[in-house]
Amino acid sequence: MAIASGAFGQTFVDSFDGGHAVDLSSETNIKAGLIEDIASPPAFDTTTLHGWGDITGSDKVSGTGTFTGTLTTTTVDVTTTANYWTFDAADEVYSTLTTDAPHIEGVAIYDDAPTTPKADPMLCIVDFGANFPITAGDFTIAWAATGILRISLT
Amino acid sequence: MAKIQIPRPTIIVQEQTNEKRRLTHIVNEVTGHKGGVKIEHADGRVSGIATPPTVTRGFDVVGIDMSEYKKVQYGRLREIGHSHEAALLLLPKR
Repeated sequence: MAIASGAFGQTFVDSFDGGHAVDLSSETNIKAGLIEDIASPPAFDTTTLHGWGDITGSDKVSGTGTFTGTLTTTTVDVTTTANYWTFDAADEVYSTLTTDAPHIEGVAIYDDAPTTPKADPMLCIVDFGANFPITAGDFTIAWAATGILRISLT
Repeated sequence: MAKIQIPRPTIIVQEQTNEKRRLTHIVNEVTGHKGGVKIEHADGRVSGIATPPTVTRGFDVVGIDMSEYKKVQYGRLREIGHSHEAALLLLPKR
């Protein structure tokens, strides 16, 4: 079973009811961890909270380089415009990577700050739609013009 | 109807140029995959630098492990016709 894009519903529920203090505008705590094909990805629609630690180590991209980036630029933000609530950030660049098979298939966005009730709660998984091997190169995620994640308000 | 959307981003993969690959191979051969290098071209260009603890892009470009070395004192890669000559001075940790 390949990965698919989706938002972790319980992270939203928990954030709105005071369980987590997720700060999507943080310039230091919102992480983007590269992932491989996952045989049994965490379910998006359960009442279980899912953290970055719930992604099995072997399902995280391995090789040479740093495969977890921090959305640190001043453009990390949440906005509400034109009937959309949008979470967006600057394009994320992972420099000089060499990946081991099965390489890069997506990215998990999570907040590195909270420790309870679930450490590093994941906001969403973004499926790249293809498998990307890379040898001693730079890997850039150019987020869509419509953002990383957005909610239609109407 | 309200709906969450996660649009697919564009992925850009920029692997090393053939020139960098060639240099990496040569440097790795010379260093035995250890140490760091500063690659100076004959025309003065510098294509790779590794000076811990400030690990720069050059460290990764040459793909070598500086953990056993204190610093790189000097490194030079010279092109002689179609062959190359590299000289490195690595200061090991005591």
